[in-house]
Amino acid sequence: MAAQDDARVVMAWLYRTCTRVAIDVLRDRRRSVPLSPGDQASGCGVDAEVALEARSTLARMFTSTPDDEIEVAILCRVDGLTHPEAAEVMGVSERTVRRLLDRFDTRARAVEKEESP
Amino acid sequence: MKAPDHRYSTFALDVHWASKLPPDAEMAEHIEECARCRSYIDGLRVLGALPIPVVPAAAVAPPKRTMRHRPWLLAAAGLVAIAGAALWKRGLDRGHRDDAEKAGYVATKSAPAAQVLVRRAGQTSVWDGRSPLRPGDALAVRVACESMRRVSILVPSAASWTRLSEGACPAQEPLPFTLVVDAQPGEERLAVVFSRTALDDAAARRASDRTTRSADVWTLVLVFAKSIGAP
Repeated sequence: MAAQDDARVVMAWLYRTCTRVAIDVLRDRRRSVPLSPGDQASGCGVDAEVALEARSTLARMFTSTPDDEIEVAILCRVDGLTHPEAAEVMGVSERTVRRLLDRFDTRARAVEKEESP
Repeated sequence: MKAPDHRYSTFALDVHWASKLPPDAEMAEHIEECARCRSYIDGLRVLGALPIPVVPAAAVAPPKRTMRHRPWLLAAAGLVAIAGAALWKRGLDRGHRDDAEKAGYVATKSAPAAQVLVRRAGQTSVWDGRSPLRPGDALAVRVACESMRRVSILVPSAASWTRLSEGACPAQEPLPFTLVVDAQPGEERLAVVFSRTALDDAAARRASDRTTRSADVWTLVLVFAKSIGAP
């Protein structure tokens, strides 16, 4: 059980760090980093359609969205983490995760409305 | 055979794998039944067996800001890989296979070919080879390898080409990565290198540079125009 807990702590730190670094890199480059090798490289919890839509939305909203909203969107919508998992990774409550996702969705809807002809 | 009724995130699978413990009964049963999770765990095992690269001391004393992120870029790339690798699997197969089949591949008969799928505003279509892309478009590549066995994808970098992916040719599915078009002006390029055997980085770059086309290596360089001001 201790090994499982250790793994969770390390993995949460790794996800958090990598997500934040990825956000920094993307902000610097203003382009998404594509990738990568391997077939089927995700668990079945990742909804491909949702993830693709989220990436497309994030690409449009990157410069105008706070980091914590981007982070939660990446974790929950792209990486397919559950709310409790995202809360664990981000070090916040599940309620905060839901609130950030709501804000992100509201922002995304506004952007879509703005962009629609 | 029972269909998996519980979904596991990549995070849950990563934790399970990193703990080195046997999974609990529910997860064990799921992994047994779920090809996607089983494949992911297998991938982690392969990665785990790779030697840990030794970073020269000179490379970890970064005086320049541009070098500061470099060690993390690999980690970030790994995460993005985990995050994005299956993006197209269901979304594209789900409603757009017909479009893809109708459009076909652009190539001489029996030559390896690539097809680019563009997702824009919730719709996926096959790129016609001419239409400019727009910022925010998400791209996936589907390949027909014919007699080749491996496929690499490279993008231009400052000096030459950078390889984004390398792997066995998938049967039908798009390659497991996506690109999102940025708002920078200029063309986008993508090299698709098919080969009979796995190529190392240098060979893949060389093939991209020369657009090599032989019995063992077949290269396509895709050039995308961009429409920056489009709605």
